[in-house]
Amino acid sequence: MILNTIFKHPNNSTYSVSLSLPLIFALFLCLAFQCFVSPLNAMDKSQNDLTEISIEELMKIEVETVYAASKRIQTVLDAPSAITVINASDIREYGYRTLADILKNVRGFYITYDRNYNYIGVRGFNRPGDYNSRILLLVNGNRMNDNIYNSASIGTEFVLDVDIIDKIEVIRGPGSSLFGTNAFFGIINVVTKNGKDFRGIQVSGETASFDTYKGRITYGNHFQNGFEMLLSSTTYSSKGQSLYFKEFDNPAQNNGYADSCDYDKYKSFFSKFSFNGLSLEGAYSTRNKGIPTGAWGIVFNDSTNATTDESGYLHLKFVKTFFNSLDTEARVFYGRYKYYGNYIYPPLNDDSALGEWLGGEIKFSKTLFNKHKLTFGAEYQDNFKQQQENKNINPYSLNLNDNRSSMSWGVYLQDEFTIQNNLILNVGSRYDYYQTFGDTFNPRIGLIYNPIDNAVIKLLYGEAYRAPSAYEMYYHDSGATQLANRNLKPENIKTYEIVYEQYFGNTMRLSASGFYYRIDDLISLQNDNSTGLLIFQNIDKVESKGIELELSRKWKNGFKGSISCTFQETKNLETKRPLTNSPKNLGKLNVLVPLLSNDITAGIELQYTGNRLTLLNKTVGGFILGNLTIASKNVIKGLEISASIYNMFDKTYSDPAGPEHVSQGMDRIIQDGRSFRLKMIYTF
Amino acid sequence: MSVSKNHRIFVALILTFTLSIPINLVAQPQKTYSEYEVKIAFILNFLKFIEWPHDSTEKERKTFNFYVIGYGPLCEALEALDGKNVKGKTIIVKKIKKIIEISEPDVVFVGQSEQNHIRDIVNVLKNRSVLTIGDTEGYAKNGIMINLYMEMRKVRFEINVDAATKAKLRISSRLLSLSRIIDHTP
Repeated sequence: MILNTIFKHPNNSTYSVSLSLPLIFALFLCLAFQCFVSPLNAMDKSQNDLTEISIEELMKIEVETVYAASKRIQTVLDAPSAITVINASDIREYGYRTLADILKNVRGFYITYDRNYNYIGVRGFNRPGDYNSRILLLVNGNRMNDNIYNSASIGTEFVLDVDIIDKIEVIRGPGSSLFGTNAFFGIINVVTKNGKDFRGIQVSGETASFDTYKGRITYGNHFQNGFEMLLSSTTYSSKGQSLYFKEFDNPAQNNGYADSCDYDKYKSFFSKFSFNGLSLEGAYSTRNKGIPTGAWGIVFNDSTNATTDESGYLHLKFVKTFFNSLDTEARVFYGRYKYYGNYIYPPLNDDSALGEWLGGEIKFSKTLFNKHKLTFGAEYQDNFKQQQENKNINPYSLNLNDNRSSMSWGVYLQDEFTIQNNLILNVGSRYDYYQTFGDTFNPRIGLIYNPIDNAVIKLLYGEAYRAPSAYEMYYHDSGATQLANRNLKPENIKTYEIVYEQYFGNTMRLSASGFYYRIDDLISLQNDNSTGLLIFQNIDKVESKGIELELSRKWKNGFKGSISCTFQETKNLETKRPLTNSPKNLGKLNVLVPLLSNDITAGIELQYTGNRLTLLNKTVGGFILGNLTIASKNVIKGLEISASIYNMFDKTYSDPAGPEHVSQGMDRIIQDGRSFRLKMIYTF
Repeated sequence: MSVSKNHRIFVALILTFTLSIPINLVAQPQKTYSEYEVKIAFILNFLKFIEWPHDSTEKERKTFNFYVIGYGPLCEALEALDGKNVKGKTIIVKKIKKIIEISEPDVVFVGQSEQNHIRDIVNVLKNRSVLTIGDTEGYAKNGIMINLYMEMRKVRFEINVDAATKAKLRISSRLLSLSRIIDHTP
């Protein structure tokens, strides 16, 4: 009955879609049923009891843990969220180039690209003009969202090269009860590799379609005295392709072709040093991206239209156990984000922002009476620079010069209470104070129950907030198009989720979750009643409900695969209409096939994204993309080679466009066709 | 229409995967376990692959005394070994605060909290045939015989052969071949 409500389609246009949904469900149910009754899959205790297996087999077992769900290491099954973990081996075997590539294959996620930035869609939400401020992006537990736009960079402007990522934890659902702002729809925690993962020098070179080249050199080591270090530097350059946009198809605008405008260049640097519980990390990246789409009404086919995004941070962390059982983590961080946009209208318009922040956090964990795992802490952030500027050059006019600073602090407490062996109650909450709007309090509660061996049911309720960004509160262009709104309040979300995970005979895992999200005071770009200019307002109430299913299997010979489907529906409660850029269906399939040996693999991915509405209320058609990567390692000692084909069926498809494109009559952005990459890594 | 065509492919994908399920259901231990479950399984294996000089002389003793000193995440979880059998003896796990509290010890597991007392513990046990185990960086170098550590999400172990030899413990070559050997005498 619940399913019927969720997938009830309000009009007949989606009839063909809804017809196949029950079929898919039926298949999944059949499958689940089959697994339950199959005698081969009976819960064979000896297979699950680790003490019965040989030490050689034990050496092969990977331990899957997650940090960001509870701010401490725990198993994925115990965590109060639906979680996906992506490992370095997945990045290698499936030929992922950016964090956006990685997220495209995560259950329930979809990525929109406007040929400048990548936007994360999850649980049916991908709001136009939102630079991923509703997802908290962490690197080794340190916040990456900047203090101007709150943006989370996941494309080529992400601060790290994906080659030095050890794993990525994707935690669905609200996380404000531990992390504060931005942990609205979820948390992505990127964990980097360490010096001991390299033990020497590694070089990597790759070449790809559209005159793309990337080079990386990494040095890592772990010394006898315990000192560990990692240094890595990457340079990337892509000329891009000539792109056709029908909206500009006239002789004055090069017949709609943007030549040499899709270029993308970046340099990034990462370093990490650690010794005896003390670690210091520093990262910096700068990216320059051409704008081929004529966004914001800039001159089409002018290659000087570009944005530069620069991010960097320092992160000092100290971990120690005091009084035998009080785990303490103290950290200090500095972050910097600089954006610079060069827009030719004419005249030349310079749009820029500079944010700098400094902060600290102290966190304690302690187990009381063997039953309560307590985590408590406090965090402070001083946004000592929040600067936004907009000016025209020749003739000169200063449209905006806004200099701010602000601070916020928060305190949090979480208790993981083991009521009995198979039942955990996870309760937490966080209080935050902001200089700008006041305070907010966000709880989360989770009940984690193992009814039988190898199965877990999680009942979750959570609240989260997102503080209005400096951009939303203070950006204006002196009355030309946009107004500031200093009275913005945080937007709030309440979420209900049920997660079911089941293992079958150790080789197969089924995850299912059903969710209901409700957002109030959503900050949206609106037309001001009196002036008609654009302004951010706390206006919308929206909801999202849906189901996610995922099945993954590993075979003995190294063959493995997973498949996931998402069925979801979003609605603006004021207009009773579905949200834009919100596909009702998503599907992912990935398969890893060992060729000859486990050292040579073929990684195949298929990603389905359903129909999406654009801001002009038209439909962008659904599509299936296929990617293929053949990866080999150690065929020659120390050498890894991989070859990838992206969009192997050469499917022509588009993503819905944001308001800066729609104002030019463009409601969708064309994406890449078939492309190739060849990559080599050599470890000395 | 391309929409329904896409959907057919989508359904076909699921069908393909579903149909492939019943084939080859030979279980392989690839479920995700917690770090501590795996470490405990390692420890149980160690006990099988190590010979104590009193294995033959104290045949009438029915208990295998496993002491845990200090605190640390693994210390709590080690309770799971209590009651298990090794070499025909029943493992008794006992938590202690001071190393002098032990009697007839077979194994002493040293928790993470004992980093500053590690030399003292090693000294007290020096002339006795007691296997010492830890899961803290630097323990093997400081005289603990077997130390567990993590590498690329997998559990690994290092053996201080000198320390084990002095305690007259015989470690099987199978175990040695899988370990990282630490030849450092404190």
